[in-house]
Amino acid sequence: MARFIGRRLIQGIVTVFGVVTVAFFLVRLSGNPAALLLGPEASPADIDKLSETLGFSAPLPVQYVTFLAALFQGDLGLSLRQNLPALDLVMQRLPATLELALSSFVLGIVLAFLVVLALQLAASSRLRSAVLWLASARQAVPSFWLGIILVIVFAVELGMLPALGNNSPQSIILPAITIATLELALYIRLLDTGFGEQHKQDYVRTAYAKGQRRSMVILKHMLPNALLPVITVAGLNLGALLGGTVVVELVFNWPGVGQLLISSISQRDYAVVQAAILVIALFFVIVNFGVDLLYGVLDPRVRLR
Amino acid sequence: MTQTEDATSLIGRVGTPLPEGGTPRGASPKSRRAGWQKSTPSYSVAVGMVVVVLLVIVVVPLLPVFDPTSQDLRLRFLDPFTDPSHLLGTDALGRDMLSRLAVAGRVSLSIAVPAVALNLLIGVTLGLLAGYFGGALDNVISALADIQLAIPIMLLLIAIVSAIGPSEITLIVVIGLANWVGYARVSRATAWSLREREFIWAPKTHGASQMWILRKHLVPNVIPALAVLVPFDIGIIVLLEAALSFLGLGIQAPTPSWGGMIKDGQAYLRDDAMITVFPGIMLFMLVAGLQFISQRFTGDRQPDRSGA
Repeated sequence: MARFIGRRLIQGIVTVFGVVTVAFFLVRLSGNPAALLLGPEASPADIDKLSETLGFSAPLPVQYVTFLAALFQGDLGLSLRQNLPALDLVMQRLPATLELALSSFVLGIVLAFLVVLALQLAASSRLRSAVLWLASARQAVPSFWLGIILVIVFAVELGMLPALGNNSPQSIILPAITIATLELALYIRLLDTGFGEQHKQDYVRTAYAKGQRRSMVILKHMLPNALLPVITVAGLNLGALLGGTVVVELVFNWPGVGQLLISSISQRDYAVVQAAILVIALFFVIVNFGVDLLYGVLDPRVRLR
Repeated sequence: MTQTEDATSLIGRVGTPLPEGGTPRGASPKSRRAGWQKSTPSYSVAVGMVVVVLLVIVVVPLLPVFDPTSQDLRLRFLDPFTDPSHLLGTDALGRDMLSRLAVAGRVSLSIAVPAVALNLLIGVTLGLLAGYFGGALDNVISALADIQLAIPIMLLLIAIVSAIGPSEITLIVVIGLANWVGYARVSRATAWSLREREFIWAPKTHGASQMWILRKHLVPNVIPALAVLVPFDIGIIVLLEAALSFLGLGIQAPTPSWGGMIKDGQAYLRDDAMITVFPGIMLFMLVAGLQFISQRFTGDRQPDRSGA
């Protein structure tokens, strides 16, 4: 187990390092960030001056080391528009994003779990096809569009729920439904596939041979095994979940990191863009590391691989 | 004859397919009837949806009423099916919706198709090399794949586009470079399973080079498995591009895009919701159609990295 943790830790550190390096080069990919910041009308003298202050005129390797050193101290530079530490701005928005992403995730996965168990116990192929069809169809609908349709129906036409912002407890309902239905669809299909594979296994045959009831075989024998692949994909899917949340935040004017990220891009506030991307990516890497460890604990076969 | 074959032929006679393995003995007849066949919604409906979208993309530009650019503020927010020269109505600037939907579809596919081609090229090359040669090369390529998966594609796209600015080429290159892992995995598994077979090592005895064997014998064997993933991935990329355009980071005005049209329409929900609804329907028909077509051949594969 120690070897397994060690290997995953090294992998995690390499990935974090990769993400940090990508973030470093991204801002410099565009040429001189100072020139971009000041816009096309700025004079060369002004650009040079700002470059100097921001440290963009030093040689790249020097900049990279300075960047890493500052990063270790939690310093991601100042927001050039608001003159506040970029990291603080991102951390202020993070709770709203996590609230939306996690509540949608939990809602989606719990519902998926119940739906698939019900499908297994009911054993109706027609019902199962219909549910799977719906799940596939949901995955083909862009979330931002579904969000707008929900706004049209529930906020504009029926006036039941608030459309924008986060001013009341009901505000989270529409954005959460938008994201949760996508998670629901994904996990219904995953769990269903997981169960489908278990039906062929020898241990299931043995359980039936012992004379166990179908419901017992499903709940006691198949369920734990069907859950395993879901845990891995849940970790990877988190990236898509966070990416999707960024887009849905914009639809509902939800005051999270995604909205900050997009508005900072349009204001060319690169320190904040960099900080937002780093925070989301690091969060993703850390959770994935946790998921992998959990997987190693739950399934001894993984540790041996 | 094994029990499984027996069960399959029995079920086969009454017309309900049962996949390999079958339902274990002891299961109730009810569960056997349920079976575990691949779920595909009506295939013809899926093909129909894709054909409708392709028809719009191909045929509408040939019509005399095709005009995606000219504005007429007197005709803004025209309702659908009221004016024969604006069959689906007009948008906030009085531009023809149907024409714009057609152009947007063409733009969308002109990004998705080359991006998938790039995915295939990179994925097949790396996957075959890893599977055929194994060893250190395999380790390096697998590590590369792990890092690739560890960076959410939507975030990567937002980051790169925000740094170097949006353009169609940027989208193609970034998606093309960031979405190859699925193809690499399939290619690697195929190469790995075939590397000891006679038709792979026999050519070496008459002096065939490794690359020649890869090209002539391995590539033809992975193509069928990958071909069915292609429509699925095209759908995923269409959704990605739409989400980016919605954020203002994809296709830029005045070029129409489904995502951009939805973004523009959002400001006029109370005036005319249809300008937001139509692009979404086009997206759904294309993506769902491609997905269902792909599912018919692959069974089930999750779009777990769509981010849209």
